[in-house]
Amino acid sequence: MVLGEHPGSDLTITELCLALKTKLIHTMNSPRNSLRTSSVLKSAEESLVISIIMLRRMINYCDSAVYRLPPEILAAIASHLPDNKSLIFATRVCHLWRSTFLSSPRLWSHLTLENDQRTLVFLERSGTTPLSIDLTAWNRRSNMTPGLLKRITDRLITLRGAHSPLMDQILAKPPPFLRTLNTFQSPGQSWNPPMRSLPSLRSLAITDLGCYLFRVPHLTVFRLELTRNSRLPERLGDNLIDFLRSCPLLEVFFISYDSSGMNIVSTEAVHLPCLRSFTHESPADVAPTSLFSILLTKLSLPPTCDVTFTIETSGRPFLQGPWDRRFPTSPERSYLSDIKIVKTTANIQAGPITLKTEFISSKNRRISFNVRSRFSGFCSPLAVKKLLDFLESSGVIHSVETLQFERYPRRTSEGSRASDLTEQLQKFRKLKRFVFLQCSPALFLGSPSPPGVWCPSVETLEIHLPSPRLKSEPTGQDILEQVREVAVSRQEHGTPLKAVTLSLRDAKRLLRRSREQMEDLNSCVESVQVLESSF
Amino acid sequence: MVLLVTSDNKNFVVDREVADRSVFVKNTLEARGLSIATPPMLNGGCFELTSPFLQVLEYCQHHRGEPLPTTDDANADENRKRTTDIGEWDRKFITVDHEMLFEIILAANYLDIKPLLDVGCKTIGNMVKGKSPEEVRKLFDIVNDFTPEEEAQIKKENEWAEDP
Repeated sequence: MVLGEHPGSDLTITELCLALKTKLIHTMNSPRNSLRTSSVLKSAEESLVISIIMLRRMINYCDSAVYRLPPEILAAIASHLPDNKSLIFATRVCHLWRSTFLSSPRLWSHLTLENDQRTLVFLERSGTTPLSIDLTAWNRRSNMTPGLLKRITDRLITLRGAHSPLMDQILAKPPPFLRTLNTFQSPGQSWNPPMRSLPSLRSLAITDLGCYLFRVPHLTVFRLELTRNSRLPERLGDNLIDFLRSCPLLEVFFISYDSSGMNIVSTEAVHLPCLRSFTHESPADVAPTSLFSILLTKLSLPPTCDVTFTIETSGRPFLQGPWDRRFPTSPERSYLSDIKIVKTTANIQAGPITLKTEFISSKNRRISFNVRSRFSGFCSPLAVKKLLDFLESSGVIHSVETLQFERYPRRTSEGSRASDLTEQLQKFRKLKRFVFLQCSPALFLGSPSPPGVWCPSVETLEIHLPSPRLKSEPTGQDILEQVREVAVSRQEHGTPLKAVTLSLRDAKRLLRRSREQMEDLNSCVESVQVLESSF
Repeated sequence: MVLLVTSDNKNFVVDREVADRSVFVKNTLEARGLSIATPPMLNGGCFELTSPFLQVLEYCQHHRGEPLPTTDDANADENRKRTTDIGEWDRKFITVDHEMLFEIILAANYLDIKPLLDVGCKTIGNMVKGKSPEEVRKLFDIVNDFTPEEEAQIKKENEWAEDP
């Protein structure tokens, strides 16, 4: 039984029903079929079934928005299904999904090796597509036949999973095209495989220092995420340094850890001439460890390599300090010496606070220093105040060019209004751009003017607000008046604003009602834009 | 600043940094050296662009300044696709009705905003996850339109598909 691939594309429903009725009448009344044999009836039944299926596809096309999505998007959706079982079930939803998914070999290229029969079907459906294996859910009781294993390893490009006997089996004869290996330590399991040579490996992610068990001359990306569970051999630091030395093509090195106490004996520096990104992540309490110092002193980075330090904080360091002492400006760290802070973006949201500082060294290397809070409920008015205090005490305040308040405050409380922060914000001497994005209009309650704009360096003011939710909140007109006051005052002080952008609800009506205010504003500011709020 | 004109002649002025979240807009601007980009109608005008465009703009505003995915991320991409994690903000953002969700996905696909397309596809993936085919049909208003041959194939699949 063959049906059109594009439901509804050939006939309308009325045409289809008419055609069906005509065909049935013709079949039943045909002189040749005067004897109503079973074959005639079966033929009529088949016509009916085909017609019903076509009708159902038309109904799907009309009723279901997901049915109208183009095949490439359907396949993209299927590629985000979290597991193979969901993918199998998705092929049983309707004809369109089934035909689309079965004709997308890439979807079938992720194997979990839990069931040999299923693995065989996936191998067939995946055609010649390179394979990825995820052993995370692998059942220790299942074994692979050597023939099946060979069919897989010849096409394998990605392998992920905990250290296990099966992983050893797969790596026993190193897969020739394996490009990505992501392996992690099982709690309480030891793993001591022999040294493996993986000539095609480009990316390695590992959670212990087992990396030295691989000879990977073409490695370009290395992620080492040490946890408190990771084995810490005595010469761990040396192993790491030796491993890095064996990867001359390394371009990206990411290290994250939350434990300290690694020793190192090696005195020679490691040259990584191709490195373009070095990222170091640690919680605030273990940042100044020996490993941190080792990496800073032993790695000889090329001048163009970007460096990113990220310190995760539970919020306390902001409040209690003095983590600013860990700021990486110490002169003995040669590649960090003579740095000049070029740009800092402080983003204060109703959720987390992020602080992103970019430095530029004398060697023209870009360095980022990030602080991010772990808890989404961290951004209390007190924490914001402390952040601003920190920016001042560390000297970073003099490099902040952009300050953005985003969806802040979540609810209006004491200390969360813009006027409460005015005093600190006035200290941002290099602030060029001040943004309020989707903030509550309540931020401007009782404020004689938006804070910070009194600072003569601010050139651009952007305020994007949603509609006021409460009667007590300032309206668009109130905010326009505040901005006008600031603009006029700044001009009188000889430091006019260059650009003002306001996006507010009912902007058109506001413009009609506020002609005088707009005239004042336009006479004081080079560029004024009042837009309809998209929030 | 960049002026974006939608298919129904609505004008939006946005920062270049925001507009550049769309690879389509970024490439158009770079190729023409202009500050105006006019995305043509989606799907022959079947979809009202303004509504999803406002949502797309909100997404771009929120994620401005974040690094754009590069071809270097290809390997990471494979891993990411099999995760269903969606950030808190993105999750709230994408909590919309089905029609709007599909329109956002279409707009993200057309404007080439891969992170947004991923969020939309992951959201649908999360909806489908753990549901039987019948439940998925009910969720998306789909009726069973399989041929008897397809039904037979599916029945045969049970030999290997039902195992863990």
